[in-house]
Amino acid sequence: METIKTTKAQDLPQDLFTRADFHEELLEDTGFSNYSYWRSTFRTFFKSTVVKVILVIMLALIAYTVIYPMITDLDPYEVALSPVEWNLPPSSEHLFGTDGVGRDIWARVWFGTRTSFLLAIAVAFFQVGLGVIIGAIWGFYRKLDTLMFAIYNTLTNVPSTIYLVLIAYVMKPSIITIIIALVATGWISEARWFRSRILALREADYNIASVCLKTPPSRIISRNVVPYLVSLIIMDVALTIPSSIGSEVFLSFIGVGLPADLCTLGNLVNQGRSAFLVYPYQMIFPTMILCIITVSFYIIGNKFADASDPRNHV
Amino acid sequence: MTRYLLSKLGQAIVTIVLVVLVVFTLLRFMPTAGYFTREQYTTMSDAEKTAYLRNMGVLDPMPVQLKNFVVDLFHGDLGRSITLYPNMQIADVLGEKIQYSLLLNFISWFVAAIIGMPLGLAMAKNKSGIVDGFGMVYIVLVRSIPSIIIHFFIQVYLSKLFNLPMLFYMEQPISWILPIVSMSIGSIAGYATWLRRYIVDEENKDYIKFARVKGLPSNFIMWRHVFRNAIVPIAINIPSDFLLMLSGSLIIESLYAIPGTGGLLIKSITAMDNPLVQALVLLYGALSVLGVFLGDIVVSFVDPRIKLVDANN
Amino acid sequence: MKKILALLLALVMLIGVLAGCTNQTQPNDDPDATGDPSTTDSGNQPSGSPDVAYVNAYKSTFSESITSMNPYCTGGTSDYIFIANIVDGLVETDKYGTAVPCLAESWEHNDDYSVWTFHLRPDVYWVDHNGEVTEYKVTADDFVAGIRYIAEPTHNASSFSTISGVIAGLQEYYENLVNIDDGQDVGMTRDEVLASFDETVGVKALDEYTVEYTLTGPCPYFLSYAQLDLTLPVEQAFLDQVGEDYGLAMDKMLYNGGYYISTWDLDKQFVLTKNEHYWDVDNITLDTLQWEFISDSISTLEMFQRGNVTDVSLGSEEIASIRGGEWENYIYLSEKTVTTYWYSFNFATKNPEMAAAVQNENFRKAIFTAIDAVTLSAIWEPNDPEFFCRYTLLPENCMFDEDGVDYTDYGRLKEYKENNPFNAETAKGYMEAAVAELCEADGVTLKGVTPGTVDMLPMTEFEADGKLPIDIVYSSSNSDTEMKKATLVKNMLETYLGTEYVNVILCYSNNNFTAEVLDLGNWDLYDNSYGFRYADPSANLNRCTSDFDITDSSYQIPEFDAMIAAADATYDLSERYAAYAEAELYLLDHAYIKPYMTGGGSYKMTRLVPYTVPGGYFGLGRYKMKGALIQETPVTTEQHAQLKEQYDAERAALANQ
Repeated sequence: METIKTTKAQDLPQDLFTRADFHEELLEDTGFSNYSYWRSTFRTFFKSTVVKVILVIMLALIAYTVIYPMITDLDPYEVALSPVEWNLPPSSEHLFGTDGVGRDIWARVWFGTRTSFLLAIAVAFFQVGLGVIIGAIWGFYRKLDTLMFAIYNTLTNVPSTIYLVLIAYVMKPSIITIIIALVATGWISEARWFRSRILALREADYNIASVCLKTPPSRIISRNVVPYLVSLIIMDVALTIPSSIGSEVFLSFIGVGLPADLCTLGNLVNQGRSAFLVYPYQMIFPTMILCIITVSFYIIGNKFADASDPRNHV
Repeated sequence: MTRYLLSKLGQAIVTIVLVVLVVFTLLRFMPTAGYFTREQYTTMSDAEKTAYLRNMGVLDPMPVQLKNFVVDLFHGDLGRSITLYPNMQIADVLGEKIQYSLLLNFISWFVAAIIGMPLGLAMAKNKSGIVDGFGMVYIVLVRSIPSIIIHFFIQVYLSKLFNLPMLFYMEQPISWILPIVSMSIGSIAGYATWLRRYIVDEENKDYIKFARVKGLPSNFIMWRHVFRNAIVPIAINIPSDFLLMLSGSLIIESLYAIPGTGGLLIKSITAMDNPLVQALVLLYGALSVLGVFLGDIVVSFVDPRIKLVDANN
Repeated sequence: MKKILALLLALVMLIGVLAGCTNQTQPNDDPDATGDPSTTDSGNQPSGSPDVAYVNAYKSTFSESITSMNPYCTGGTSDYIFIANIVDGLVETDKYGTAVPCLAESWEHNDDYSVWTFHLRPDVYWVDHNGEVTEYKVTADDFVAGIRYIAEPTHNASSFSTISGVIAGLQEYYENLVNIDDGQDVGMTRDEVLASFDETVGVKALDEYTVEYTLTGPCPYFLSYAQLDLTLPVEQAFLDQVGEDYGLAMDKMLYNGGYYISTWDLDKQFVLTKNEHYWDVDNITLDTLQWEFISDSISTLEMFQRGNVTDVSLGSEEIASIRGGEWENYIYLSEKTVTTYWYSFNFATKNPEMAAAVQNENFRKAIFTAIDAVTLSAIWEPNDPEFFCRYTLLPENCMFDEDGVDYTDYGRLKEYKENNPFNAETAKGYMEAAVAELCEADGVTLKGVTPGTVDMLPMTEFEADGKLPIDIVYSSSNSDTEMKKATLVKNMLETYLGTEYVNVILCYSNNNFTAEVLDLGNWDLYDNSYGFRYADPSANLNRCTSDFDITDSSYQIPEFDAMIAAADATYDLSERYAAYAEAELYLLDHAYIKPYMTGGGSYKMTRLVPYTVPGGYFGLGRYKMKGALIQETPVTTEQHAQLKEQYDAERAALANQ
């Protein structure tokens, strides 16, 4: 916002002024100086120490979950046939101890983290992808509103457990099944969220101003709409990951949908819960890793949302 | 106004009918073997199995089942549960369970509102200060860690720390504390986040800046302008929050053995208790639609920009 | 906080004092109460103090919804304890498990055990949920009404098939009704069939207090049936009045047992209160029995330690946690139950490799010999896993012939009973023999197997290549312990037999084992537990025939079927046992079924003085709380051992009489 200066213009001598020529090529300079949306976003984003620390932790964690299965010879599914190796406390051999049938919890946690990550990323990718496409169409064609709202109201009122149970009766329980199930229940809310964002964007003052100033639509879309949309998507993906991990834990809690023997953080946490009072470490370790992941993604997502908001740019 | 409300109501009814139809159809896709427990399946003779299925009414053709359902519904009869509470009147089951969910959820909603709103307000006033910082940490933790984990640790550790009962007993109000704490921590974070965000957004608006420039006292601006506008998006959800209390809270009720409605929907689906699922979907659908509807009305009272007057005047 | 604790403590003490009073007066009131004096006295000695305090309430928990108290439609064994204490039947058991008079004062049977006549106790009245006597008297008609109730298909009586083949005409009557409801023509209308009940079904009220059961054939063990939920009485007039709601609320049923339901909060708590008008009220020692709903995160151990429950079963984790502490002195090992876990094969599998292999006896033996029951049992009881292993189909210590010889000691069954069949080397030997028989000359291609995709959706889908290793689909439910068991078995088979020979594909049902596995035949190997409902080998062996096929194996074993038919027609007890033992051996020798573990047994702690309540293995009698004494302090391990020794001696003396 510019402030209006109320100096008395007629008091100034005319010869101080020369008429400026119209230069097509200089048109840009007044509008955009050297401002770059992405540069500003990242500068604001990385200004925070919290973000830097969390990013380092997150990258280290992701790197480790990728590398670990390659370098280890521990099999997270390997059980011990001798009961003396069951429920061992943490030791140098088993860093996080062993579970009720002698499986190494350290290995299970890292394989589980990898699976949960993959699952969350896949869900985020498909859910946000579908949401953006459908939300964009929905936002631009207002005529779709009646139809889309009817679909939205119906789908959000049909309990997702019904889909999960039905899917369990026809499909082999696998990670794909669970991705389909989560995306099937989540896309419509995502679409609605993007629709309202796109509507708000379309009606934003600066876009209306640009239209008034005869800025070509292609330019509005490439300079104003897309960058903001991309940052919305990034933020949304970052926030969908912890919520997908949360849904996975919940599904494992109610015991529907998730392949029960799959090594995921949700299954590990819930299996650990039953033995918690006696062997707390069986639950504590997976819970710790899970919380680190969800908390950091949540913070990153929110910080990025703040940084990508042009109002916070300097 | 009446026309607007009527059209809204019409839409709402269409939605509910659609939802019930979809659920009804989906339920009929479940395999009939799922009605048997493992023991029943292996020990029952074929004649027994047929009789069992027919008694539950799942052998009738779908249109007949739908007709029965609708006809009973118009007689005010929700039907009888078939697998979860065999043969019990669904209305009785719900009647008994709803009171618990309603009681606890109402108290925790109240607790959440009286803690969450002032917290949000304090955070907004003290933006980037210590209060805001602590509030943020709380919000981030509560909103990002899966709730099962939080509730579980509350039950295990707080009960030890303060020597509180680990289970809920209706006649022992002291045992209500932990479930209420669990139920409200999420909503506290919710109220605080949104109120803070709306206040901050509102404060950046031009008319507030103008009011400040005009020299209005900041308390006056806060209460008269900022708060009244910032509360609108929160107020719109209050009726829904209120009505959906009837659906209970799955995790907390199962942890504290509260005989409420919490796990009922999921349990009835996995047990393939069709009449119960249909009744619940119908009920919750109606409640959520009603909640939105009431939300619109509440907003018209709260929102300073809306005045309910006839266009003719 | 402390105040409340103190208050609670005071309350507990008060109850204790009250209980002490009632129990002190008890022996005086009823000097010849069976078993009471001996147990109380001996109970006092080991605990070292002459004045043991007793409480008069039994407290327990439940974690699955209990929705109906309809005695005929129980959800499972967990409901029996309620039913047994609120409704009495013809006979019950004493603490040694012997059938003793209950509502029937005496009974007799004809020479070939096919007609049984029971003489009822006169002037017993039903009471309502306030404990008030109603106008209804328990008469012979009530027992007839009970059978009529379960014979009605729309009532969904649980385990109806247990009795339908025993009482004359019952099966036909039931099937006629089912067929009519199905729209088939059976030559009669539904009302005509209903009216024919009195003539066609073998149960009659000879007079007000005499009921007679006519059976389909000789049945020397009919007293076991007379203790089942299926033969309980019901008042027809009341039934007509409440209709469909029978048993759904406490005012929707009548009580003639030692207790009536006084509180029923759905999914929260149940309280049974002493019925003052009970015919045997002197032996009702406890005033209330209460059950509280708990969640899975609550440890009943902790509740036990705080005195909120009377007894507790300890999981393996919990035992570990109290080892070395003061509570260790109270742990005892409960009796094994008559339930047995069996592994079985699917002979009609969709998996071509397994379909070929399962026909080979050496292969079946290899699989069964490689499963180590002791390790599986350790999932539940790591401290003494051998104790809970059982290698015979039928349980030991519950069927004795006239000479007191246990059924499981007949012939070679004794060898099975005493030896763990697990042996890694023998298993490998069987496997190599099986491979030699199953494979072509190249040693890897299975004879007569067409490779192809095996569709076991939704459980699994895989390519069977028709070569070694043989793919075996192990299907299990997705509970925590079942999954542990499955993982262990996979590992055992692959370790002991070698991955070059077998490849175990584990799959877990997601929501409903019946619909996903059993109904679709999506399994090669699975296990299940089988209860044992009456004291005769036919109880389970007759259910293993090719026709009944309780394991869903789809096997055809005409030899076994013939043996069972012959055994079932033998009525001399020792000959009958010998014949059944031969038949059981046939299944075990040819590795059709593998029994490996008993159900239900576990480490426990209790305040209930052992052997004060009715014993036995069958029917409802053993669930009654009649005569129960509940100490304020838990029963110590020594006290338990001493009482058990004494009990065993008494029982042995009884058997030798």
